Amino acid sequence: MVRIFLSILCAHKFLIYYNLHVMPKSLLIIFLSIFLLNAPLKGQDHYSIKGITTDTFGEPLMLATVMLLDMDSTFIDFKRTDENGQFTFNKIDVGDHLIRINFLGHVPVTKDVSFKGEDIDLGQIELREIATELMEVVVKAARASIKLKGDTIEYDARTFKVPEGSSVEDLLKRLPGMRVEQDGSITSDGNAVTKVTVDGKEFFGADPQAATKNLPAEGISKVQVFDEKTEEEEISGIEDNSNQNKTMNLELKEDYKSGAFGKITVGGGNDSRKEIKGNYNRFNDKIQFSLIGVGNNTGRNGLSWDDYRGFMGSQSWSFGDEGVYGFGNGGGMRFISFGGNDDGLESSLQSIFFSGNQPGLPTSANGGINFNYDHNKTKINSYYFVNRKGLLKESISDKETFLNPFNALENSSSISETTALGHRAEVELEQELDSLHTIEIKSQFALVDNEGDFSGSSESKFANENFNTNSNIFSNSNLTNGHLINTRAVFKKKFKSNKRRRLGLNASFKASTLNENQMQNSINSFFNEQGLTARDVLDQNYDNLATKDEFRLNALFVEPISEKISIQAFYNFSNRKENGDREVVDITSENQVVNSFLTRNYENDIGLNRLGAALKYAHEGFNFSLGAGFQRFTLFGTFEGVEGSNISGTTDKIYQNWFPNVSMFFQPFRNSYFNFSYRVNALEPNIRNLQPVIDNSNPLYLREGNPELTPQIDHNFNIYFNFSKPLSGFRMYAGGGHTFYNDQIITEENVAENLVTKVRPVNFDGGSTSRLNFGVRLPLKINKVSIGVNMWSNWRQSNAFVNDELNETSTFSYTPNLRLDITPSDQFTMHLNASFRQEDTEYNINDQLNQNTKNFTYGVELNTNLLFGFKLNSDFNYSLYRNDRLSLDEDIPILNLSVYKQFLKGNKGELRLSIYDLFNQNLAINQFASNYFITRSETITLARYVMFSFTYNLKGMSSKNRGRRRF
Amino acid sequence: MKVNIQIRIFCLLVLLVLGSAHTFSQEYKGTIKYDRTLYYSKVIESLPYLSEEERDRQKLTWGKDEGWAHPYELRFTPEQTIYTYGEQERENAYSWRKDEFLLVHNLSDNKILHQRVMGGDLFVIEDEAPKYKWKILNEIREVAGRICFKAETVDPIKKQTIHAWFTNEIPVSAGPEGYGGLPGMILMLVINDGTAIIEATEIELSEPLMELPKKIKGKRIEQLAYNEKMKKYFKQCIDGERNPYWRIRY
Repeated sequence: MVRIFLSILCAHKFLIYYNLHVMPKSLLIIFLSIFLLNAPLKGQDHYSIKGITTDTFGEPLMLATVMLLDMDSTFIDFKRTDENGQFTFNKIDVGDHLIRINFLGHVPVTKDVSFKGEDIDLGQIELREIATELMEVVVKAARASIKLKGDTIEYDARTFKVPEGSSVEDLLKRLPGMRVEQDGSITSDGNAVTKVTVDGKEFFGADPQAATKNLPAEGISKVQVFDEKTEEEEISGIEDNSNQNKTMNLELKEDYKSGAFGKITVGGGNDSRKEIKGNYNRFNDKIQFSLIGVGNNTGRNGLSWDDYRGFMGSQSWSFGDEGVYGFGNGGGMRFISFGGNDDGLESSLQSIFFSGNQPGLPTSANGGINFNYDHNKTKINSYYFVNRKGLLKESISDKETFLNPFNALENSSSISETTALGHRAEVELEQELDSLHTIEIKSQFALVDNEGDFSGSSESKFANENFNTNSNIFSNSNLTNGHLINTRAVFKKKFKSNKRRRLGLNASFKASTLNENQMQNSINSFFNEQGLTARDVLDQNYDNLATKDEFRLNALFVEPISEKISIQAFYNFSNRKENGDREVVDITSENQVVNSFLTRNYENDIGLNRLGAALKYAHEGFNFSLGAGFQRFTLFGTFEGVEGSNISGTTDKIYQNWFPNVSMFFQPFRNSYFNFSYRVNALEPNIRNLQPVIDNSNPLYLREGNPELTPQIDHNFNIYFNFSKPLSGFRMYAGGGHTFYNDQIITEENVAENLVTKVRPVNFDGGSTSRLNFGVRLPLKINKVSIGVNMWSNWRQSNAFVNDELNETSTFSYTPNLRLDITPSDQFTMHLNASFRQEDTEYNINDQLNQNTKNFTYGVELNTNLLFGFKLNSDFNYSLYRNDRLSLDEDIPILNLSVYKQFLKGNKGELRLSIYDLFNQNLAINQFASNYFITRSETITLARYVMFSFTYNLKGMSSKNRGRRRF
Repeated sequence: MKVNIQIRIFCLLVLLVLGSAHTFSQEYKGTIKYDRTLYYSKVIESLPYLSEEERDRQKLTWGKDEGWAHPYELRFTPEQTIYTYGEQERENAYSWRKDEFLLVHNLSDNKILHQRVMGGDLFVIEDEAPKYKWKILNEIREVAGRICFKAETVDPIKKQTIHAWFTNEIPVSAGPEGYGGLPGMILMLVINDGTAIIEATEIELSEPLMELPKKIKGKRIEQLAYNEKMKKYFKQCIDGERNPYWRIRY
């Protein structure tokens, strides 16, 4: 309506001029309508507003935008002024309005229009020019916005760059219209600033310089300057122009990115169970600081993914990238990998946070401090973490080894008590040199100190005989300590000529030393039908000092060929030097003698050169990569025994192979994706496996190296498809994989008459594994009830030599899983889970041995509100283990219950009473069928206990009975 | 008689531009390139079901991350605007399928055609252009070389506060993301205190490419029905404690 009105109005102006001469009929109607519309407004519900805009010299301003607003600034209509600077709004609803006039380069003017029963003529409205300085410097150069509130001009101080540590005074010197005199006094547009306030409040008794000299510029977000009003003016509302003094207000930054959170839990229970856990995080725009400490003897790790994220802050996702370039997308990919063994020396921090509950009776203590700095082009990340883990483990196990013609049976029991202490520290600096170049330097330090006592006994016999063939009693102890330093430098370059052309270079050096001291004590007895035939007493001390130095160099280059195609080339070099010094001393009642058979020095030198390239295509959701590489391993090792022992040897091997790599990722239709890959990996033999050294730490189970070993080559095929219908909550996936091996490293076992087993690694072609998985999840009632079905299946074809005979074993397992989530409200949630796993194993040497194991698990998790603000968490797990061959028939019900109440403002406090394993059942059962033996073991784990705990959370706890949230 | 013809022509013109905001907007046609940057950390932070601790933890992890920027283009004539994806610079990363997105606004009859994906389904909204209640604020700044004034409105469906910076220098009542109705072109939008920022980077005042694809695929729906669907899905996500903005354009 408003628009139509405007157009007719334009016509009207001309009509007045022409209607005396001719009056076409068509126009008559329009004219009449205009006449009616413009009828006098007396007593009407509409009125008009007009005015003339001029500059300060009285010249009319043409094409100024005049907006008609409601009293709350709501936009109604607008006009542009004509060549005379005039504007008119007609037919305005009765009521008060605002007229806002904007004109380029001028301070916008707002006029109150209060309706007094007649049309309003605002007369001449003068627009003041915005100081050129303000316009040029603030708006154009600093790209800041300026806010105009009557006499106040405000602009964002953050856009004016001052060196770090500058005071407000330094900042003011850069602002347009502002002058800071030698004595620190301030003038704005020539007028003295006599008062400075901070966030509207007086700062240190109104001395303007107190604030400007002392406050850091970084803390200021806005500077406002306005006319100072005398008390008289404020009361009367009448401005007295004789007062030219200004007031300056400094607004402090509200630090958006800052925050602090943390909590502490302490608990105690029967059987001297205790737990304590605390974490605290504080962060702002530049700095992140966190502390964590956990200690308990409840067998629970006590560390979660949330704790890891809290501890690492913005670095949570940057782990796992060791900078070894390959076929993956050049840089920027985040992937997860967890580190290895070496008695914990090379294990990663994540492996501490994410390790599961171990069977046995563990105690653990962890503590760490993290500090991240991120500002402008510099990032520093650092942490220190200490962890100590103790484990008392008592287990029994049965094992059946398949020999021809008779099987061997072994049962054993053992007790071990271990403690592992580790310290880890890391410092990383990332510096952006300019928009094209970045360097990163990272150093890691680790220290381990482990000790352990192991004792136990075992008995072995042939299945067809009724006497033990051998028995063993042992008591060993172990002390290990070592340290590691790893430093890496990365250089990344983008090219100015083409932003997609990239270069990455990195070099790293890792050095570690591990010192191991073992005391072995065992008595091995051998029997025949008549009784004891021999008894060996072993009493030895081992001292093993191993050092490792590794140097790596990696390079990556990406060259774009076209919009869709690029070439990626990489080179990996590594060289590892290993030195070992192992001394074995036989202890007899009389003396200590160096064991010349087991004592030796070794030196290994392992090199890798790998070169590869891939052609990559990427366009509109379709990605394809085709590549190949060539690699060459060189393994050189020497060892020698004590003088005169005649033990010495050299390993000198070169392995080289080509390897292809194909991958494809595409989205066939909306909400779906599909990928396929074929990769070849080569796994070079561990040098320990290459040396003909006998490891007799278990005298009934001897390990020996094989100098003929060649790398194992894995061919991996993978396929995956995912599809969802988000509106209905439906999701499904299906995936599969197949791997076959060339020169797979398998074991060769030789079992002697007295059941002493000797194991050696050998290469063999023919093994494979395959898997097929799929899953569907759909809501029966959105957000209330949903059902999920999964099925995992695996085939494994594996081989082993036992007493020179090839054992081929095929294993097929499948695990259907059904899950029902019932979440009717925040007060009550229930999750039901049923899963079944069956594994069928077939043996080529004797189908009598074929077996199947079954494992059923039923779970119910229930969370609900109780009376008087109390709440309940419960989780019940019922596991059934079945194996006919081992006559295993064990049912284990585990029920955990806890009742808690949250209190204090914002649910900051929580008191909780928990009962773990109410039925006092906890036993860890493990059953395993390999290609030449089956075994099952039971380990005593922490059973029923009661714990009473208190938690205080700085930020309060969620009051909902929900599990993890997704976001 | 000569005068009479002039009057007739004039009246015809008047009737022709009936509904267009002002007579001299005819001169203005062109293409404006925008960068739309979404700060995901802020999106997550605004989720109502997070506890204070979770909110802080996510801010700690992601707060320093840069936003996701995508180029968009607004092509406009006094009769019509077309808002869609701009040309994106290739990167050395996986290429993903883009959700269809096209917004056509016929200024002459105030009708829109809006092709978009919501909750994984493709819709085409054909309806009157939504009306926004703007408040004009007292602030000016420069965007892409033009002086802009600030206005504020609220998206009633997503409950977002929208700050628009419009310029009188391009007197076309339009803008990106379907916003318009101000006395000039919107060159910048700031959604929910900077959670998403749509900012003009380049303005070219020349004949724009106004061609539309021959077939615009998607389920035809009216604005009101679409809003109801979205509200329902939004509520469903929040009740189920899932982030709705994975599947709804912010």
